[in-house]
Amino acid sequence: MANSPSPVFLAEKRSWSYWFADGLPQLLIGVSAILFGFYFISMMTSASTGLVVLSFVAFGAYLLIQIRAPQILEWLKARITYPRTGYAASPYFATKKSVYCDANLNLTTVQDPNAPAIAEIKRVRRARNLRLSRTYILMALASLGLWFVHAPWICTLTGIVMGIILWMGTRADKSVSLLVILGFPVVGFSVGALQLAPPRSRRLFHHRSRPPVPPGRPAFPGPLPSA
Amino acid sequence: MTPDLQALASLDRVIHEPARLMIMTILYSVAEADFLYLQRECGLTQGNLSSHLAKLEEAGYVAISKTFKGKYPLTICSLTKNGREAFEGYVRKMQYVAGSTNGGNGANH
Repeated sequence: MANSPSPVFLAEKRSWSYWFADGLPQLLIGVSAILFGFYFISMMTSASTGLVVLSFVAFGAYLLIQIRAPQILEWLKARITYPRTGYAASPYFATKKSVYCDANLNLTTVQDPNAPAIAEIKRVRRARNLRLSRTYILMALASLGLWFVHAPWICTLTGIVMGIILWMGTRADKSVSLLVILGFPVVGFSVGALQLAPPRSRRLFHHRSRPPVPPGRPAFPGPLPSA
Repeated sequence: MTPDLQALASLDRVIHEPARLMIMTILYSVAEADFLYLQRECGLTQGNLSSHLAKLEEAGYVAISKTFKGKYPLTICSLTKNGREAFEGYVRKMQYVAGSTNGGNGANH
């Protein structure tokens, strides 16, 4: 009994798991992963200007999800989850004087004078958003090299550089799995090795070449025969 | 009267009732929750929960507001500053009593 977790801790834990119980956060992560995957692969294999534009739209949507995930989730939950199973304040929008993130929380921490104040939490969140934005902008810049160097090894190099940028940008938050970070070099290497990015098609403004002119016909058609 | 018994006698009766203690514990751990969430977590009937919430509101421990999340109407409950302090005070007293019954010095808790 003495070692069992306190009811406060259990209630808090349940409210945290309630945030994830409907699966919407996981779905949002999945969607953002698909968007980034689409951007990353289409940057390497893009064969038309339309695809390039689409890939940038996908990257913008990915950035939006990363930075505004709590708000997007709240919007979705208000329409899907809350009417069915009830509403509990998201851990992201906690307004109480202290937010407990400590897994060892027990009743003795109720009076913790070192509990971070709301202003401090807001400052940390702002700094995190800024750090993430900077990281993703750097990653976008790193992927631009794909447009200028047309060789299979650039895919691997870009993957490695993006992985390093992501690791450096998110190591303070520990919010990105090592699997994702290592995934970039692996995808880059795979795309390069499997020749998914043929050098000819990897141009920003792709012009369709004229079909070869059959022998015996003039390269440019002459004037139309008069009727 | 010994200090242990005094601590027991001075327990807040509004919070000490099991159903209200459940409600207070949940509201202490989340910033705010709606009626449906509390009902699911506590396992109380609508009428029961409603009457307990009314008592807590009457004591000034819980603030109840009606609002909307999107188009969905919510009855949102949250602890007031008084409610938070009362709950913390209640917990301290219970810890004191628990410390005493474990053979330790409850005053140190």
